[in-house]
Amino acid sequence: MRNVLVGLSMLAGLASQSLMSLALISLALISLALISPALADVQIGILMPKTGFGAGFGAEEQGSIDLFMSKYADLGPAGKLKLTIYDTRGEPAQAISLTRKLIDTDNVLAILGPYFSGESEAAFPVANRAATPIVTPSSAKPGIAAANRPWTFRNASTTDKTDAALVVHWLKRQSSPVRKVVIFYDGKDAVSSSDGKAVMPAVLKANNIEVLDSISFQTGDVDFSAQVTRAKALGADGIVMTALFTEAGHLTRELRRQGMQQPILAGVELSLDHKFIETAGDAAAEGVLTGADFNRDSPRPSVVAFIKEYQERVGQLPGNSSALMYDALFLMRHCIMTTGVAGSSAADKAKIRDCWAGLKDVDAPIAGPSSIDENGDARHAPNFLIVKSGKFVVDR
Amino acid sequence: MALLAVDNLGVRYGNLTALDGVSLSVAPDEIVTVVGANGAGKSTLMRAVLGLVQINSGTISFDGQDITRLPTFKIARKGIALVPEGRGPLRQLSVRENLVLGAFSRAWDAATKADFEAVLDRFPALRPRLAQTAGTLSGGEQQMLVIGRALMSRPKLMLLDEPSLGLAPLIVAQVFATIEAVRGMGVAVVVVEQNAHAALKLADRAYVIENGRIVLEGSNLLGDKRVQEAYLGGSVA
Amino acid sequence: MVLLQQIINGVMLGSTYALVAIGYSLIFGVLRLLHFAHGEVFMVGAFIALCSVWFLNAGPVLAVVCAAVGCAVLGVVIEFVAFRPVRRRSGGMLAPIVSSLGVGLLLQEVATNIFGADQTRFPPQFEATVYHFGSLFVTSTQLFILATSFGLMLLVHLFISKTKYGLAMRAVAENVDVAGLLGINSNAVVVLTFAVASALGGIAGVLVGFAFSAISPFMGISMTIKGLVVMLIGGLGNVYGAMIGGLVLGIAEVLTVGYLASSYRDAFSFALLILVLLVRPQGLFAGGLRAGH
Repeated sequence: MRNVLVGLSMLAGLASQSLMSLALISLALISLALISPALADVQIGILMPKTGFGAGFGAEEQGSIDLFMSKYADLGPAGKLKLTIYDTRGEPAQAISLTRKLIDTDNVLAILGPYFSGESEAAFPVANRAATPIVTPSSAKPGIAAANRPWTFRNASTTDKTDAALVVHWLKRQSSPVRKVVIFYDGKDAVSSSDGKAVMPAVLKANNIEVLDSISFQTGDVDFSAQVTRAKALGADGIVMTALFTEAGHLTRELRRQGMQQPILAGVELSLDHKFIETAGDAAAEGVLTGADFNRDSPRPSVVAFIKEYQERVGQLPGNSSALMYDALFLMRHCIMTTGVAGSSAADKAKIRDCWAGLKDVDAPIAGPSSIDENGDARHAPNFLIVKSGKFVVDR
Repeated sequence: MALLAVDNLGVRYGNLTALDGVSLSVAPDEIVTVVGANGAGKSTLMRAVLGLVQINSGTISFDGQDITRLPTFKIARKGIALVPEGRGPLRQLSVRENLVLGAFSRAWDAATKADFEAVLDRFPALRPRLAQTAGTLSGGEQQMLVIGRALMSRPKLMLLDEPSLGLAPLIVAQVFATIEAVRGMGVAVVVVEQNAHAALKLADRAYVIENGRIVLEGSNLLGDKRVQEAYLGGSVA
Repeated sequence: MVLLQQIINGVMLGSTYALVAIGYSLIFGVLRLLHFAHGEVFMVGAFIALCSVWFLNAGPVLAVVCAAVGCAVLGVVIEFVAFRPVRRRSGGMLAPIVSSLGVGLLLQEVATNIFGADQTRFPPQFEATVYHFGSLFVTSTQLFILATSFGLMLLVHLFISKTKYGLAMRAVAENVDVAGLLGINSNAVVVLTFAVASALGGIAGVLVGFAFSAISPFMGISMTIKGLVVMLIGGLGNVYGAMIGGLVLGIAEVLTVGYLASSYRDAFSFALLILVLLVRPQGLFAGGLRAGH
């Protein structure tokens, strides 16, 4: 009996010991569980214009970021997606120093941004040297990613890919033939300038269109009277403009005000922004044709859902910049999930680079099947959009 | 009662003592002169009365009111006009505009217009130059203009800082005659002068200032031996 | 005909430069200080007018009046907040420059927070009627701008040459001490100067808003620079110089854009400035708030 008691007490002791250790182990597990997601979080840096003249674009991007993070911040075993967002003010110098900061100080896995071609031209070499993947969702000037292989990418079609189709479409739809055009281009904006000075003229020449004059203006200009007066005397029968939406709007308004009623083709720099129509006025903007990655009228269920959710969350319609950023985030998350990276090591960065370089027909929510070519550029079929009664509608 | 009473006034520019315990009084209708060497503190005294320099100690009262730390424009509006040394007229403004501004604190009514005409009658040389900018006037004409402008405010007291400086002798005589005339209009006058002889002859009373201190005061300093030696070349001319 | 149309374009642009530069010149003339928030006052003027249209259903004239009054008040506030404290401490040239730059940035930020960074514009009923004369054209907005700006220039001229307070302003500009001796309260004159200058700047903002249907928190930045260039061309602190200089700059810019390229526009403006300063270092008109004799 006594032995039994001793034995029982020993058992009890053993049990309490094992209970203790169980508790200890589970405590340790809990604390590990608390700490480990932090260790496994994936840091992505974002560069965008939150202030300055490009703040409107930044706002469009921010709307998509907020929406995306509310839905897809969880990366499963890799923990959570963490974003470090910096404001470049649309300035290349800021883009350079913030790229360095994201890589050196914030130790990010990869960077999304910057917005403008001029910024990307400046920031891409920095990321390329630092062997960190960088993906601009928007810059469209040809050759920027090609010049900085293998770490730089973009999820936007370059102007050389879109212009050819756009010009042909524009010429085809005119009732009276266009033979002589005047080009207006923004000399300060990198993509508009390269498009207006090199890409568009080459495409127009290939289509046997004479360029009578190339007339420049500067980002931020509001007075276009001198340019239009100069163009008016030339007798063009078509107008081509490569400009951001604000300047394009003012230019279009002034063209119509001075009585120039020729058909207008606006390059993809317009970025399908409704503010173009607001600035130009419905009447002046009527009939302006442009191209864009984003087709807001697309029947694709994922596009319809995106527009609905974006509107609910942000209270405004998404713009072209919203769409591009949303897809870029989606593809970045796709790469993180499929490669199984968990930090920002050199090996992790290389995996992300290889994922982007090899993207083939990945079904992005907005653009649909997305691929990256050997230059690091996306291939999207451009949508042709025309202004009808104050709205962009798809022109077929 | 004195119109102007300066009591134990002290002014320092940094470490430099410009005025030290200066007391002075001016009665209505009186012409008082302050003589002294260059840098003795005469101009500082004038500027202190008008609030143009910072006062460190002492008080200034005018017409029974303390004006020690009032801003310049308020002192001027109480009826003290200063004819400053050198750059007196507003050179970029026309002669007419200078005179009109003299009456800034008055309404431009019949009395003011009459004063305007009276000034032009007193200084006929100004009349054909009314539309000219004041900077184009000769030195004598500028001095006339500034005195005329001071009269436009109908002051009770006029302070003149070196009114004869740089003027031809004939003009100087004219200026001193004008000062007499001003007193004749019921305006008390304080004249600060290096030209001690003329000033002392003109004045009812005089003060001698040396190194920021009043060293002599009296009603017949022209005859005073010390004054003769220090300021009048040792003998009466 | 093209040249004539370009000159018309230039006069339109230049008349708004002139209004901004007159304000600059008044303030520089009186205080010998550069007001680096003046461009932002111009910007605020446009926004005040916009609000008056939104909330009071104002027409063009009432909008201009609202902007003038609002900016006059703003100008006075700036004088009390940014200039008077540092002037009292006699901080030299640098302190007022820095404090006015600060006020400018603040106004920009506030405007961005209230109205957003994007350009906005007056509603469509302010759309101009276009009058064509052969190949020339002029719009009703342009006529309104011309009438308003030249009318204001005439008013400024009458104010500084014929009124008591205009004379007082010029007196303070030339010599603060002498102005004080004449019974002029120079602080009050400074306040008046800020009010008048800022009202003109604000009206210029409305006119630019009408003309180019573009109102944004950043529209003042280039105006600050252009106003400065105009003032230097016209002669520091000279109101008539600012008027002529504004028109000269506007026409020069338009001709540069029309016959050379837009990228030369600012370069050409500064070349013009350097040329003027080389030939006449005091500017086209000598300094000072002159009444034009």
